[in-house]
Amino acid sequence: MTSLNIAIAGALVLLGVGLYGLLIMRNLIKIVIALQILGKGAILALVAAGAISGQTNLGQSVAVTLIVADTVVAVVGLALAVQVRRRFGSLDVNELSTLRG
Amino acid sequence: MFNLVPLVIALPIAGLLVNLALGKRLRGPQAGIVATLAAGLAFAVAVLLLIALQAEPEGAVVSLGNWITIGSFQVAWAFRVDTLSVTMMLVVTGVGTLIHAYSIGYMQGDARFARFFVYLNLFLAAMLLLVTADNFLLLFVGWEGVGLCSFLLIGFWFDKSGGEGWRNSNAARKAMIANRIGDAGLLLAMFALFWAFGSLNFADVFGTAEKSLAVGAPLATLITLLLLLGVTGKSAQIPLFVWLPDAMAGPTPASALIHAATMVTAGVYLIVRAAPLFTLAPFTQDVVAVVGTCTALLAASIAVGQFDIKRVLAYSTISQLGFMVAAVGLGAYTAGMFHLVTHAFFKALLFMAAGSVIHGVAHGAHTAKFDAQDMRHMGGLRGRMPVTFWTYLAGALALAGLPPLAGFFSKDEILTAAFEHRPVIYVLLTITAFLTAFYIARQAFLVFFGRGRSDAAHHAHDSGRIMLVPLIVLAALSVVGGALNLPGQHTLGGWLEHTTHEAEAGVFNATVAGISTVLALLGILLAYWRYGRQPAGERDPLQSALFTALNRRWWVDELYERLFIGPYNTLSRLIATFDKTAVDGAGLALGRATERVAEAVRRTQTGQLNWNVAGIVAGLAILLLIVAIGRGV
Repeated sequence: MTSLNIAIAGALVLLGVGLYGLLIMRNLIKIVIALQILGKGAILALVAAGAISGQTNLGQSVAVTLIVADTVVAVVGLALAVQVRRRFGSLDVNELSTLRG
Repeated sequence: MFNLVPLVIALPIAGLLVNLALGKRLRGPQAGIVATLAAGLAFAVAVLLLIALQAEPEGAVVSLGNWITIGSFQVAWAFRVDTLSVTMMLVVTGVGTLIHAYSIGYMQGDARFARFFVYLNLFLAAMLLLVTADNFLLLFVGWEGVGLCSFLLIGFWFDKSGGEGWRNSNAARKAMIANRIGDAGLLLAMFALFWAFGSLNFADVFGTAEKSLAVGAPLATLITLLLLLGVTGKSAQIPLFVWLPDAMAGPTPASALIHAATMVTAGVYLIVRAAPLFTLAPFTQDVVAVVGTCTALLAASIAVGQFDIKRVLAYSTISQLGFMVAAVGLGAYTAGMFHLVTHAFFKALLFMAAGSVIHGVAHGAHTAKFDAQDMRHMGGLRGRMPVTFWTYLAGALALAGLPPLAGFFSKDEILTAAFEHRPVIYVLLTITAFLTAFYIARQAFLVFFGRGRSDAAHHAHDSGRIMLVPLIVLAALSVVGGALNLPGQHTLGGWLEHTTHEAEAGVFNATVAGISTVLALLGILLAYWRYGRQPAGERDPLQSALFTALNRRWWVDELYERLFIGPYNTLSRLIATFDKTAVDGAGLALGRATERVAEAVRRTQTGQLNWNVAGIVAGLAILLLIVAIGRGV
């Protein structure tokens, strides 16, 4: 069991937890958290992939970029959550739907 | 002088344009006067052309320029002035002018008075184009034009109440369709001519044909047979004659002009014009003669059994056209043209006299449901309508062929030609001549003699002067028309010879003339014995199986209904069913299937985030699975 394998296994676990969170969570804040976990899994996988393919620099620089993007996702997501809470009085995503047809 | 010929066509067109533009504003008979003036001026031009031809009998071709130019193929706006076309022009414009004048009285008070005269003038223009055209295509334009006017005028009263309007428009459609079948023949003949000779010009076609084709050549036979199909449509011969009796639904002046005097003779004119081709096809000539003879006999027999005053005349017209067609089939072109001219006089006269009778009886009628055309409601009109009676009598005796009236000479010339060449045709035509005398005398006795058989007949009165003057003129022509081509003189024969190059046989056969005169007198006597002695009641004295067959027109219409119209309708319904189920069904099924699929797929669009994520995850799982399988893991 090399450290790389552990990294990939960790990435898979993070992805699984993130997806599971997305599937069952209805609270918008928890969904943002699940998205974050998902994103961290992706970053970990990128770094591992860079190491495996021998392009460590590329992997790491993409990972850094993704961290920035991920942060933006978190910020926008939480800002949205605030707005939703203000407008709908609830964070339950199933109650946000206004499109009927 | 010959350059005036386009005017003959332009004048009626000018007349119709004036009526078309101002028709609604013209009051009273003004529209009719404009149209009559146009026709009369056209007649004057035709007379000028006649005078010019006296000096130069070979005539000329006047071209107004090219119409169609495709490579070496050219069709010109060219008009032919020769003895044949001028003869037709004089008949068309002369009789036409009289009928125009008569229509002013007959159509008085009609809601579409001006429109009627627009149609009449349009007809004149088309008919004159037909007879002056110098090539087959231009002739075809006129040919179709007169067909259109015939359609318009038969269905002129399409809006009459009580189902009569429907009958009128159905009659118009019937005429259109029957003519269209004939027109197809003429079109195919033109295609064949173009294919064979590369030209549609009369002079080119006939010149090339005479040089390159032997007598009896299959090509000549084919072309002439196709032309004959066109003739049977327009001139109401077997097998396409069924439209003409129904065409009597139109106003009587239209019947007189189109369906008696001029348009229906277009077929005869076409054969005379294409005589060089027919001379090359002896087989077709025999077919033409047989078709004409059979039509003459069949139609004459049907005329015996009709009660409608106009229907008798319609079948009489078919029968007389049969005479002309038989004549041109026998190669007696002059005799055919001679009969065409005299027939135009006396049949137009008979129709207009019948119109005058209908007019008078209809005005005398007081009940709404009254058939003013049924001869059983007439009788004794001799005293009430003297002018109509005497003019009618002149026409009837001319038709019966009593000397020295016009019909005697022209019919006898045909009979003589048949006597010399085809004895069988001679016998059949002589029987027809006997029947002709019988049915026209029957009509005369039923309408004018005896006592009136209805209230309307007692109150009938003669028509106005505008209607009677044309009758008198035509009566005079019917009496003296035979002078055009007296035996021994052959004025018309010598005149037409410049165009047809047919040397008139020029014999007057005393036997033939004697037999036909005696038979005509016998026919009249028989009619007197049957119909003249006592007022005929509701029951026809000829009530029998034979009479029923004649009255029902030998069931020809029913036969056509069974043979052609019924199967055609069945086929149409079949195709309609196929169209509704298979063709439309395919389109509808496609639409419905799309709808169903959409309905099914719509359920997945819940708008719930978790459900969407589940979709993404499932999709991802499937993708991974595919990749894994692809890798062979």
